[in-house]
Amino acid sequence: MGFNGQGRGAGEHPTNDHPTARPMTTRPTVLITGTSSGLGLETALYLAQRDFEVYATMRDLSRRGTLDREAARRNAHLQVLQLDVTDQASIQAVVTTVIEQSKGIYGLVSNAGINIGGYFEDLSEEEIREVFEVNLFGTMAVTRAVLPYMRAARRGRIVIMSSIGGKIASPGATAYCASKFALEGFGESLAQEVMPFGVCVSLLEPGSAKTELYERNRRLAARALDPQSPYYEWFQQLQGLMDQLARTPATTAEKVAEAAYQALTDQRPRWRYVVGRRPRLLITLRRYLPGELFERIWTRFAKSKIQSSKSKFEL
Amino acid sequence: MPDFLITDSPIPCLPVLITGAGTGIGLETALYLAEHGFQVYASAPDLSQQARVDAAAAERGVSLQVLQLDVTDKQSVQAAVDTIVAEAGGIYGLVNNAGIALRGYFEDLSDEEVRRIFDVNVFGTMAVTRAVLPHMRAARRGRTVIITSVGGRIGSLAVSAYCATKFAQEGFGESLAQEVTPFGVYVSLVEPAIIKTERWGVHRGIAEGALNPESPYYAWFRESERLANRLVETSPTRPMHVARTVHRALTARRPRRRYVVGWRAGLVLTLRRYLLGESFERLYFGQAVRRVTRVQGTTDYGI
Repeated sequence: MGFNGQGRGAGEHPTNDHPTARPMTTRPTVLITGTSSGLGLETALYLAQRDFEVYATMRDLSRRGTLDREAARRNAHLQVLQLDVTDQASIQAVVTTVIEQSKGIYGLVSNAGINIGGYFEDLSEEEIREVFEVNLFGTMAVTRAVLPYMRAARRGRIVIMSSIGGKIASPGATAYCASKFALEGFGESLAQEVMPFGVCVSLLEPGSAKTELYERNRRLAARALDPQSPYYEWFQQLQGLMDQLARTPATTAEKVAEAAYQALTDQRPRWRYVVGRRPRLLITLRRYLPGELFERIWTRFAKSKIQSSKSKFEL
Repeated sequence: MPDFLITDSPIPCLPVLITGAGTGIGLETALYLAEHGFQVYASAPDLSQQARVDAAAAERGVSLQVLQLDVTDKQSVQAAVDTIVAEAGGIYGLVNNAGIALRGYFEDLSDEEVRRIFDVNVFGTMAVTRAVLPHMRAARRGRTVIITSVGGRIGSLAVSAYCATKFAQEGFGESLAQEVTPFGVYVSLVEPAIIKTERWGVHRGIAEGALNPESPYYAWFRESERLANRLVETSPTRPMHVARTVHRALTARRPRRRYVVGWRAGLVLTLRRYLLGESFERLYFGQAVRRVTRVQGTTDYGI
């Protein structure tokens, strides 16, 4: 048949495609997006230290300083390339470079993502589209560019950075959650499409990690800070709650990198890797609590934490 | 309707806006709600469907208003909402039903096709919701129903973009529900199983690239379409069932967050929920892939 050779799926049989089992001369190539900070940065370093030939990409090369410093400190070798997931030409250029240099792409870690805080009515259509542009269409574009090479090689791994927000939606993060939910649906469908080619797709679902995306890159909808917004008070409360959560992060970037490594190396990778104890607990509760009990508790919890402050539009 | 909660209206004559009401589920829902005393504004992207809707309404002996509303056109959304508010004094219910399909393996979908389906299903839903919400908040009550799909809970091969839009609607609805409940506005997701509507026969949204015999997925796609046809033909779910569920979401005192329509869909979702670990994924998805890929080598198996 030629199909069903490697990875998960029908008629599977053990193969030697476990990268660590391969001779060091052909280190499997991994392309990672969004590596200037946070989860992407840590994942790039983690993989580079462990037998992968890493192409770490970022939109803005002027922000490569941290990655370079850390790579030097940890004695990790990786290549840094410019890639903007919203720019087709830059994706194509990077993939071409990687193929020329490495003769193939074993793994893609689609990590680039942005967040925008704000209640739905405070988000402009442009702000929502921007989130989708990077998180979803960006992931799709890079995936589309690498898939032909993976199919040709009859093996490959696509690791998509989703989030607990792709499983359980919260108030004040509509655009983010919608885009992460979309990634979940996309990844789950794609996994079934490419499985016969020996290509595996996995979704990573980390909880809040203390990363720069939260610290420095925190982006808020313009109208979310407008005291005239009916949601203003609640959003303020929510921000406070998020700060609190960030001080006790659910997980570390290293744990996420470890999960990415597993997804790339497990003989039968899981469909989903939930990272962190808190998200695992929430997802399990939601799954096994009967009916919509979880939803009711979750909503009430959010309400008590966020909407306890009296809105100026008193209810 | 024992748990009907209409406080300031002796008879239920609440205004409801339904998008994509020219055919299928939307039309049936519009007629059903009109039969049950709602003041129905049935909207369609172009008014060429008006005659059909009017005829169907006359046949069922109900009256409803037909409006032009293209969910991808902000101005038309705003105009339709303004018309309703001016006429009816507000909007009690919104049924986000307008949606399109896109069938084809991911690599056979063009960027334009993927964006188009997001424009309608996701950004369209958001646009109409955004236009309606202020009126619901002002009234301190309202119901927003989003017609998603079982495909919003379970991904399938050959419909990756469609599933992505439906998952996105689920995430959006779930977030939004928590944001607006304090205003007395409820958001419910209605998830129908695969269903036989006119759309299936006429324009099921097959991607151009999926019909190219050069595609590496061509044989599998044709097989998956054949299987989907069979599933649709044998599906016991009818638009009527969806309409009834929408009615429940609009009238229940405490509407559920999600309503699954169709027992098969309910069964699959329950299995997914309670089977341990990823055994559902391995069994169900594995089976789906095997059924489609076993055709490799066959040449003719007409769609």
